[in-house]
Amino acid sequence: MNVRYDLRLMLHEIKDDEKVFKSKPVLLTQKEIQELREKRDLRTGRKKTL
Amino acid sequence: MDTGKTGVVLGCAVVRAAWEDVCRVPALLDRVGECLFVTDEALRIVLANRAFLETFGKTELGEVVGASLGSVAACRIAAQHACGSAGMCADCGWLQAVATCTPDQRGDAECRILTCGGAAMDFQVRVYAAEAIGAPAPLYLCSLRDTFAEKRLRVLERTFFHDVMNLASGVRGLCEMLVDPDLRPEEGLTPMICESSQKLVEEIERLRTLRGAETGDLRTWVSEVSPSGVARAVVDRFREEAQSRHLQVIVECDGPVADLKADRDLLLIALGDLFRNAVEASSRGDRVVLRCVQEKERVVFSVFNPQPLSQEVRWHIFERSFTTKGAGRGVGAYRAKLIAERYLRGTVWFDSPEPEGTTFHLALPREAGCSRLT
Amino acid sequence: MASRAIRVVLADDEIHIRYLIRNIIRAEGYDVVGEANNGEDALALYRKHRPDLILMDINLPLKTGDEVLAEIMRENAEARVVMLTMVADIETVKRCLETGATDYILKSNSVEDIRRMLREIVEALPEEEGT
Repeated sequence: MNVRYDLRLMLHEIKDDEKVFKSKPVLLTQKEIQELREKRDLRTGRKKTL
Repeated sequence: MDTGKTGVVLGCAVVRAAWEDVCRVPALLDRVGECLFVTDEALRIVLANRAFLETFGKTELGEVVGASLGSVAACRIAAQHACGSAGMCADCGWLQAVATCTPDQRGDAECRILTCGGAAMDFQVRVYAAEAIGAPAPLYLCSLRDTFAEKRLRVLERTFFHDVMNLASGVRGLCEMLVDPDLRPEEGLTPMICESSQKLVEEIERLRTLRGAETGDLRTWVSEVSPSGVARAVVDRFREEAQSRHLQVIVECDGPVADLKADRDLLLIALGDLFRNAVEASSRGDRVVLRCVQEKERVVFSVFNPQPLSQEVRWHIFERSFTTKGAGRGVGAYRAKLIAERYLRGTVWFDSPEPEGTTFHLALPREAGCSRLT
Repeated sequence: MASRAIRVVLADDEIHIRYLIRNIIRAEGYDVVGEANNGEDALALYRKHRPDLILMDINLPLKTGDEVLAEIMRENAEARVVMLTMVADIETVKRCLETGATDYILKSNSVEDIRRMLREIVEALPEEEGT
C-alpha cells in the first residue's frame, strides 16, 4: 500500500465530527408522539383513537 | 522499526518529517485543541501535540515518546500490568478503537481511565490507520476528546429533566385539582401537595450537592450526630422504594454507638446513596440490612443486600459515569465515595462474595468534619 | 362507546402520581380496580382483573413498564396498555408503540389534556364485555 493520507482532511474530519458527539438523545413532545402513534395505527390497520 | 527508544525517537523524527511533507504546516498538530498523538504499530507513542502533553501533565515530547497511552495517563491497570495485557483491558475503549480501525475506516470508542490518583478521565477516542511517506510501517493517528464534563452534564441533565419533571408534573397536577371544580379529589390532597413538593426540592438539592461535591464548593456544618438516628432517617427516606419491592428492611445498631461529630446532611446523602443502591439492586422479598457499629475511634455503617455484584460492576462501581441503569443515570456509589472521602474524612468500600451478597461500608472517624462552618 | 363503567388498572411507583391519576380516572367515571407500585404486581393485577385499560409508568421497580407491556401483549394482542410516563426519548417511544401500546401519554401534560386523551382512548374501545 502506498496511499498518501491527507492530514489536513483527517484533522478537518475530527473537528467536524464534534457536532455528532454533542448530540443528545432525541426527546419527543406529545404532538410528535401522537404523530408516531397515528402512523403506526395506519400501518397496522388499528382502529383510530382520534 | 527499531524496538529501542533510540529507534523510536529516530522513527519519530522520520514520522514528523513525513507529516510535514504531507501537510507542510509544522505546527499544525499543535494548533488543534483536541489531544492528538501518533503511535507505531506496537502502540508506542511517536508523536504528540501540545494539547496531549498538557492534558497529561507533560512538558516535553521526550517524556511520552516510546510510552503507551496507559502509562502516560497513569492508568491504574497499566501501573500493574503492561498496557493492554490485563483481563480488564478487553473493555478498554482505546484498544477497541485500535482493533476496529482499518485503512479505510476509523475506529471509534469511548474510553474511561481511572488513574492511580483516583481521578476519572473520560475520552472519545478516534483512531486512523495511516501510512505516511517515509514511515516504515503503518501508524495510528489518534485523537482523544475529553468527554468528562460532557458526560457529567449529560448525567445531570437527564437526571434533572426526568426525575425533577416527574415530581414537578405531579405537583402541578395536584394543584390543578385544587382549582378545577369538575374534579372532586379524595381526602388528603393538601398533605399530598406538601409531600410531593418537599420531594421535588430534595431532588434538586441532591443534584446541586453532587455538583458542589465535585467542584469542592460544598461547605460543611458540623454537629453531634447520632449514628442510629441517621440510620433510621435513611430507612425512612427510602421506605416507599423498599415497599414497592416488598423488601424486608432491618436496622441494627450493635451495642452502644456514641455520637460522632459530622455534617449530618452530607452523611445522610452518602449513606442514603448506598442504601438506595442496595434497595434498587434487590429482588422481590429480599432482606436489606443497615447496620452501624462502633469500632474504637470510628463508626462503621454497613448496608447489606443479598445480590452479589457481577465482575463488570465490581470493576466500575465507583466510576463517575458508570451505571447499570441506562445512559445518564446512576451516580450513587460515586457520590457516596466522593462525599465521604472528601468532606467527611471517611472511607467507602464493598465486599461482594458470591453467593452471600453485597455489603457496602462507610467508615467515619468520630470527629468526621471540620470544626466550624467553612 | 362502552356502556358500562370502564375498569382500569394503574401502575406507578410514586404515591402522589397514583393519587393524581386515580382521581383523574374517577372524575371520568371509570373504576380503578387495582393499583401497583412495581412491574411484577402490575402484571399480576392485569392477569387477575383483565381490565379494559392499564395505565403504566415505564420506570417501575422489579420489572419495567415496557417489559410488562411486552408480556401482556404476548398473552393478549388485544390488550389496551397505555404508557403514562416521563420517558420521552424516541427509542423508548418507538419500541413501546411497536410492541403494541395503545397510546403513550407524557405525565408533563396538564390534567385537562390527560383527561381528554383518556376519553379519546376509551371512546375507541370496542363495545363487547371484557378484553
